[in-house]
Amino acid sequence: MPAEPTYTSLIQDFIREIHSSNIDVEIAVILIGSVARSTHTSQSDLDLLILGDRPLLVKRHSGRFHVQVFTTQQFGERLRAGDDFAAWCVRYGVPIVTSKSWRNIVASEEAAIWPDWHEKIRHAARRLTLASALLEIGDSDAATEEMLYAASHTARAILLKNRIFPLSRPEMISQLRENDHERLAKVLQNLSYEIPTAEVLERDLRYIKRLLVFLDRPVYGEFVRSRQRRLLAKKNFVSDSVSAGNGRVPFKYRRAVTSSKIVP
Amino acid sequence: MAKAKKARLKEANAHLARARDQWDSATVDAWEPAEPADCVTKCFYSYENALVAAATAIGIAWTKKHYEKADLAKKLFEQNRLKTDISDLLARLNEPAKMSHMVIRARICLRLTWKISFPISNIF
Repeated sequence: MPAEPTYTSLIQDFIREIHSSNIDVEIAVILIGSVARSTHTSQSDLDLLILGDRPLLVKRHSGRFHVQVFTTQQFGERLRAGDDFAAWCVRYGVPIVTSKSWRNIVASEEAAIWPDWHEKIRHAARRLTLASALLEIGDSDAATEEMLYAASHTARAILLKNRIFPLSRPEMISQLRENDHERLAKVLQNLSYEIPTAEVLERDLRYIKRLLVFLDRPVYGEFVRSRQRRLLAKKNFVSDSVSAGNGRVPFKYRRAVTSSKIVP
Repeated sequence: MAKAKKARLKEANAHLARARDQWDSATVDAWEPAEPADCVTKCFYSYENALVAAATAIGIAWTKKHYEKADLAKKLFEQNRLKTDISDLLARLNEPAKMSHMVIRARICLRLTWKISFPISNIF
């Protein structure tokens, strides 16, 4: 039986492939995520950031690779905008293939910009709404995954607000504990390593919602109101269509729109 | 044995029902004013549930890992169990589903998904 390829051999093959399909492009390959922090588990994906001085051609990988591809310019814009993913990469990414552009980014003033924690509230709220919808459909697995994203974004918001840079997800659990956020640490731990029941998910969902409202009521409120306005526009379109009798909307979608709601 | 098959089909039907509900919900998100990121995520889960329904009905084991589900989709297509190979589509949808900020890529995926196969029944 052939041995399973190691991370190193997988990455080496991947880099060879990128170089052969992007001749004369300056490329940087950065190891990110839990593997870069040596906190990965058997469930972890292998996360890579690929930067090119021009748009790159990167083949899709169906395996455990998760690849983020950007031009140097796009990445710099994200860094300047206070994006925490870009900030994480420059702080903790491990360069496997480095380039002049990457070295310039790391040495730049933008690399020191502190990420905008309010943006994490919006991301968490979106994931929470999605988890709620999936829970209603009865898909606990998908709801658990979305809840994990929501809890992680919330944890990042709290840590960033307290001027602590969030590390990888497993490390964030300890970071939360060290800063007296025991309950969120426990929620994050359970979502990461256990299989929660629907009741536990509903309880955690309510807790994270309360936390988001406490952290930033205006941002959370605006997110929910914006979603409600959008859904109302769709419902109005359906009811106008029905009253006009023009049958532009098939019955099953009419039902889907009218039964939709924004929770929480 | 017959009972085991009945139980399998019941479980497969439950997954298929979830896939349909997620698809309907994704359709609502696709309408303007659209929610592309939510739409793509629901499409992704919908395809996964449809795939799991097929695997369960046949009696093939599956895992929760996304990349293993994509591999399973390829395997079922190669065995002529599924009419369409959705392995690449699953890998493509997984990216914007994982990253919150990828709204532009989500819009591209959405167009692709709608174009490639609209009814879930296509893969059975």
